[in-house]
Amino acid sequence: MLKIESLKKSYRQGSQTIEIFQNLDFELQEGQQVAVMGRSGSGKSTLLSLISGIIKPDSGDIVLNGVSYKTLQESELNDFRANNIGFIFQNFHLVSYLNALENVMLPAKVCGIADPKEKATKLLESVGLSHRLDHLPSQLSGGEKQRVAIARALIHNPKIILADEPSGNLDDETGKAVMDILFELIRKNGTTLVLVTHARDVANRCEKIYTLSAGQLG
Amino acid sequence: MLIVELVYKALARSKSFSFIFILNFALAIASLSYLQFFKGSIDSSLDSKAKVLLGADLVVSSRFGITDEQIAQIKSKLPDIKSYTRGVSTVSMISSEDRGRLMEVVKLNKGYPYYGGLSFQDGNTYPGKTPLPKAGEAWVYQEVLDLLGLKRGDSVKIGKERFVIAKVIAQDSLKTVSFSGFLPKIYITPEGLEKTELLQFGSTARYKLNFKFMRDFDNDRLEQIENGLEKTIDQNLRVLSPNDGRDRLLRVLKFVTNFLSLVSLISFFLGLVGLIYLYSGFLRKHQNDITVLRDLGLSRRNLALTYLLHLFVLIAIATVFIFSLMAVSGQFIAPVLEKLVDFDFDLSLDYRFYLQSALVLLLLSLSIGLPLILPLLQRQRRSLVKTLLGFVPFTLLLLLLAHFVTPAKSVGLFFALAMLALIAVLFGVGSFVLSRFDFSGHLKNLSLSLALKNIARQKNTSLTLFSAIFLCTAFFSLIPQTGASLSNALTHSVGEKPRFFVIDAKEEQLDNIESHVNKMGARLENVAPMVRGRIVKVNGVDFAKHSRNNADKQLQQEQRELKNRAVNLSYRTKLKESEELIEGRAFSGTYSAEDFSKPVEVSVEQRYADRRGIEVGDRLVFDVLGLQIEGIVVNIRSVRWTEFVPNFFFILQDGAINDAPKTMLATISAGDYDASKMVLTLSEAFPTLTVIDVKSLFETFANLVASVTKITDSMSLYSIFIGLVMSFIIIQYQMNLQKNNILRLKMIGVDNKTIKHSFLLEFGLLSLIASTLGIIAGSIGSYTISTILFESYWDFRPDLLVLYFFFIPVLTLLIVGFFTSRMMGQKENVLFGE
Repeated sequence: MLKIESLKKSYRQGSQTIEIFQNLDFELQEGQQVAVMGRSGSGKSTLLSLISGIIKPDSGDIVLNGVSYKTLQESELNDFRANNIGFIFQNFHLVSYLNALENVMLPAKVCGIADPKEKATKLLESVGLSHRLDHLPSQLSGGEKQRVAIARALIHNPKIILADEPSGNLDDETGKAVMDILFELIRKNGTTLVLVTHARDVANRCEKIYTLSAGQLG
Repeated sequence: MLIVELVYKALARSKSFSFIFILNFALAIASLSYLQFFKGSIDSSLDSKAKVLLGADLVVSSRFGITDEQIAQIKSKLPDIKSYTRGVSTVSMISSEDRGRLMEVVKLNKGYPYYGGLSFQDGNTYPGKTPLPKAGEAWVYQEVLDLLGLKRGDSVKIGKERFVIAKVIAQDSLKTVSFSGFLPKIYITPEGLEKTELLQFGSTARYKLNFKFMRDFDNDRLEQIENGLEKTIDQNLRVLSPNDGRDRLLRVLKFVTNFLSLVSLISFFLGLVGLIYLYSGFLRKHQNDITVLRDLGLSRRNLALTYLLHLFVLIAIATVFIFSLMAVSGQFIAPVLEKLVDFDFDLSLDYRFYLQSALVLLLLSLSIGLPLILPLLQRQRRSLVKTLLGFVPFTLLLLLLAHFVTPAKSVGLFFALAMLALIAVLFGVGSFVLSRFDFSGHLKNLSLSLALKNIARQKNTSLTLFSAIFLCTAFFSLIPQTGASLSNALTHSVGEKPRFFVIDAKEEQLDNIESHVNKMGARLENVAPMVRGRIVKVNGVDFAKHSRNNADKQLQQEQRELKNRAVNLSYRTKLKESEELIEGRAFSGTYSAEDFSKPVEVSVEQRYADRRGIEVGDRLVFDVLGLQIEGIVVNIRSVRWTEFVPNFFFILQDGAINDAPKTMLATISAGDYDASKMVLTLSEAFPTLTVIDVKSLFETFANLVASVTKITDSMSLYSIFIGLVMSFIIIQYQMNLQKNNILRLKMIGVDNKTIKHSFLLEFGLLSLIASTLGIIAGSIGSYTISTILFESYWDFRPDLLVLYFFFIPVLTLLIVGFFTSRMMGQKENVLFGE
């Protein structure tokens, strides 16, 4: 479902070149949920950026759902990302001037899905926010924001969800509740999940845990 | 020391911000500082030159000859007199062989002026080594030679006598207290004046007594003496002290400086709004630094001091830059201003000006800085009400500044209050409209849907930008249209205006004058009798007292003029074409009671009636050469003065004062005849007749208006520029606030084109609606001003409005397009791993 082949990625920092990945190979089956752990600076965020196609590798390829990123132009890659990938961030990143319902509807509208409002309403009900549809992000608590973000990530039925520290900004109790919702929905929909986290208990919810170290997933 | 170090680093490491801030603030204060600097220089020069401007310690003047009894009475009420002279000035047609012009003829007295005097082109001065001219000699302004095509040594005809031009005056310290105000002067001796036979009954003249006291009194003491004397002498006499000469020139300057002060206040306000946005953006950017410094143990007080000092240093650098520029450029600009105000002032860099400016800057730093910095230090989000309350000291400071920078006291304050009220209304109405239509519907067009939601949901930012563009466009539309209306009022139907005004004609000369005029192919029109009189009572109350109770309190000088109560009266039966009955009824017919047992019907000009509080039905008592005539106001009429047709504040019913001694006024129509020949013929045939060339008078005035318009136009352009800079800053600030939203939208998969279109639509719509409403509001404002001030002549400038209509939204779109493109270039992966 997701295949990373001989991936190389480096950054230049002043006169220095920092190698992040050297010949990284990685494969993930459809509906699999994996956690990626690793120390700060190990390249977890870079990995998510590469999988989402936002940044390009120096060499190697990423194939998602049978489509090689190499074969796509930038605009095609953007469309592909919009249709196939859902995102959940540590800082929620809801569009500040759209209410909960509109934030959730947005990916569906971008993908041209029919009845976005109905679907968004149902999803928000399923994450327990039926009473917060008209609220702007500034009127929601952290846990509520993340639940909206989960609904937004799922509305267009993406093949894969990339979650970056989804409970990192929440207290333990809220974090646990949010993760319960996330895993329940993902399992229900059979969505693949790549979850980057520092929290062992969150990682333990996944089927497999990878540790990113020295540019390799082990 | 840590504070200083942090400030230094903040300045050094945010160079582009510091540069933009300093530039913005320098632009905001430049016009206001320049204006205050020159105004201050002129004010202090006027203070020190007040006696020179008047030429004496005290002057008593009258439109009628001052009798020996009156002189004795005046002298008895004054301190010890060292010297006094009796002066006279009149206006008359002065001619060379082939040209004639209206000029002011002044009688020269030995020893006068006591202060200041004349300096001649040959380098000599008077009084000094130069003796008085001989009986057949005249001293003239260079303008006299220019107008009449003469040179020194040639002769001019004044009244019935010819005079040789003995000296040409280069500078005259009494220029600003001249009788006519704008006519070139000719000085002749008392004997010479007598020979001209210009001074006859009904002649327009000003008689003066000039006093120099034994003691050297200061100006304020002399003003006290003036006030004391005025109360006890004949009401026909007017007393002037050196402060009056100063005030008179200040009044002339007031019109221009008031307008310029308001325009510079606009640019100052706009600049400050930009400055608040800039600094707010800077603090927002450094919010994390503030949190870190606070966590590291830096006290709130020290943090507040750090950022206040940072703000003050930025403001101070901008100010020092502008003040240095002022000091350097002042000497180049001063001559231009001197020419415009017709007064040679000393450019003075007054230390008080700098002290006041420093104080204002310190207060500005505090009043802007504290409400921006404190919420960040308290780490809590402030409600809108609390934020607004935080800016109350800043608002009060602005109101105070507005009050003190405009010469006419309440004008600036009123203007600033009106601006604040307008902003409050815009915010109030805007908030209501946006909350009623919050665009929560789901439009098919994603860009439009996002744009409308952004406008409605980010109310404060949308309304700030809307108000800024609205106010800018309103001012941009109002200022040039009002200026153009002023010019238009003067140029309107020039061809229909009469070419000449004829004054001081005797009734028996009229037929003869008419035949001369007709022979040259013109018509004598608008003949009106003029009777000199005094208004004594209104409804049984002394007129001066009645006026004081009802009139505009600001017109102090006018109040003083009321004391002599002299008015020009005329009589006729019907309204003229240039008049309109506002209130009351027309005259009932010709006055019939020979013994004046019945009140005479009176028509009063609208504005005069408003100023003096005169209403229909009021009873007036006039004194015409000792005869008291009672009148009743039967109507108030408006007069279109700009049509240049002779008219009067008071018109009496025909038949009441027809037998009183009078002079006649008339106009001569414009046409294809030789205007110079007309003047020469009439002044030759009727030496005491005054013929005013309306066209040349108009041209002189139009030139003055043109130079004033030029300055106001430049200032308007300047405020437009500042407005645009401010809009640029606000848009940049708003776009920066949207940076994360742009990345979020990109991450979700919204394509760049849709995002860009949404921002273009958002700002474009705001700009289009704000500028359209601004254009309409500015046009309504200019129409109202033009209608009130210039009597319905309103110059609609569609060219300018169409330009604004397209230019402002297009410019907004360009700025937004530029910033959006820059932000689009950023990769959305920065959202990961925060």
